[in-house]
This record gives sequence, C-alpha cells and structure tokens, in this order.
Amino acid sequence: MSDVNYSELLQEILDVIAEKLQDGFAAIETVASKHAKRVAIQAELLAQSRISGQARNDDEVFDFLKGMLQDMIHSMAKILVAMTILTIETVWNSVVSVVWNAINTALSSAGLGKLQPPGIPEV
Amino acid sequence: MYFFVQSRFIYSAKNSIIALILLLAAGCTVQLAPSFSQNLLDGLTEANESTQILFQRLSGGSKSSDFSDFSDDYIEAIGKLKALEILADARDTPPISQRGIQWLRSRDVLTKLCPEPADCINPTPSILATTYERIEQMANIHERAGVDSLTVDSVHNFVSSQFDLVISFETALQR
Repeated sequence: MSDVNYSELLQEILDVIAEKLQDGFAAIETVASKHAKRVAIQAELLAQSRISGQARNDDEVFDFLKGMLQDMIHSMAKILVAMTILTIETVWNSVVSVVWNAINTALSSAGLGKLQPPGIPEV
Repeated sequence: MYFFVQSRFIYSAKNSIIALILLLAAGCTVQLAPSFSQNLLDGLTEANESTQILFQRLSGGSKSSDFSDFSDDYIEAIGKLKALEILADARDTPPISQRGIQWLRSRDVLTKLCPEPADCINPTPSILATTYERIEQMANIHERAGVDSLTVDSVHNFVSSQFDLVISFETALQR
C-alpha cells in the first residue's frame, strides 16, 4: 500500500506550475514581441504620412491612422489579458491533475476505487 | 480611512484565496478561457488570405476614380469579418472569468480596456469588429479621395496585426 508522499507531491506540483507558467508566458512573449514590431512600423508609417503623405493635408486620414495605432495597443492589451487567463487555467488544471493522480494512485494501491473529480460548482 | 480600505482589501483577498483553496481541494478542473473552435480558426485563416489579396491589389495606392474596381473586394473582406465576429461572439464566456474581471473592474482595474468583461476573456469579436470598421473607413476614404501607398501600407500593417493576434489566441485555445 502506498500513501501520498508529501515531499514528492509538493515537488511535482511546483514543477508543473513552473513548467506551465513558463510555457504560457513564452507564448505571450512571442505574441507581444511580434505585435510590438508591428506597432513600431505603424508609428513610422503614421509619421511618414503626416510629413510627406496623404495625412499631410488631410486631417481625416491623419485621425484615421492615429486611431489605428491606438486600436493596435488596445488589441494587444486585450489579448495579453486573455492569454494570461488561459495560462492561469492551464496551471490550475495541471495542479488538479497532479493532486488527483496522486490521490488515485494511493487509493488504487489500497484496492479502493478511484475518486472522480467533481465538476466546477455553480458561480 | 486608509486602514478601512486596507482591511477591506485584505478581507476580499482572503476570501479569494480561501475560495481558490476550496476549489483546489475539491479537485475541480476549471474552464476560464473560451472553448476552441476549429471553424472559427479556419474562417480567420481564410479571411486573412482574402484580405491579403485585397491589400496586394491596392499596393502602391489607388485613385478615387478606381474605387469601383475594389468595392466588391472591400464588401467581401468586411462581410467575412462580420460573419466571423458573430461566430466568435456566439461562444459562451466562462462565468467564473466574468466574475473575476468584474471583481477587478469594481476596483478600477481594466475598466477602460474591458468595457464588458467578455472583451478581455473572449477578445476576438471586439478585435474583429474594430478591424472591419477600419476597413470600412478606408473604403470611404478611398471613394472620397483615393489612398496613397502609405495609407494602404498602414491599413495593411494594422489588419495583419489584428489577424496575427486573434489567430495566435484562437490557436492557443486548442488545449
């Protein structure tokens, strides 16, 4: 019969948290750095257009270009929040999986049935 | 006053931590982000391709007198984005995440960025709406005054960046 080993389980939980956080934030960093390059290009195009392009004499075009730059920053921030939520979900579920697996391994070693994780309660 | 605010914050934080521990102890798996949709991802990839063709045709700029040559392409690009917005918006937003964002908003966090909690949990619909609104504005400018190469490049860069963001996010939902 094997019990849940506290030290091993703790280490496993910490390892899975570190791994999933690292994966999640690596994905966020990739998206953010790619988008940041596009924001820099947009700022350059806006300046060029105001100096020597269509936005020089057309304020509607200038406002339009300026608005898109602002939209790009908003969109990036929204995606970063949403991807952070996704990372929290992944970390959470991985920890639950590790803990539940440890409990079920101990229960089945003792000849007992597995404990099914209940669903999420109503919020 | 400071101690009152501080003690309220500590009380709320304690409650949240207790709720989290109880959920973990109950072994609950959670869904905080929207569900993955292969239809939506395929639709985004296809709409991205057809929009890139529009910008390829417009590269170098176009006079207002040539607008009619592009009006069908504009209509097609905008129509596809509107259809995808509806598809993305039809997904359920997990209630637990909505409550989390509402909790943050009640403390003046994310109020401007997420006018609706769903905007930051399922950001694809609002990003697609902004994208087609900008393409509509570009079509209006094109019809009125034409578009020079810098304007075309700016809108092209903008639209590509929005597609990059939503496609990256929707792909990440495939967990």
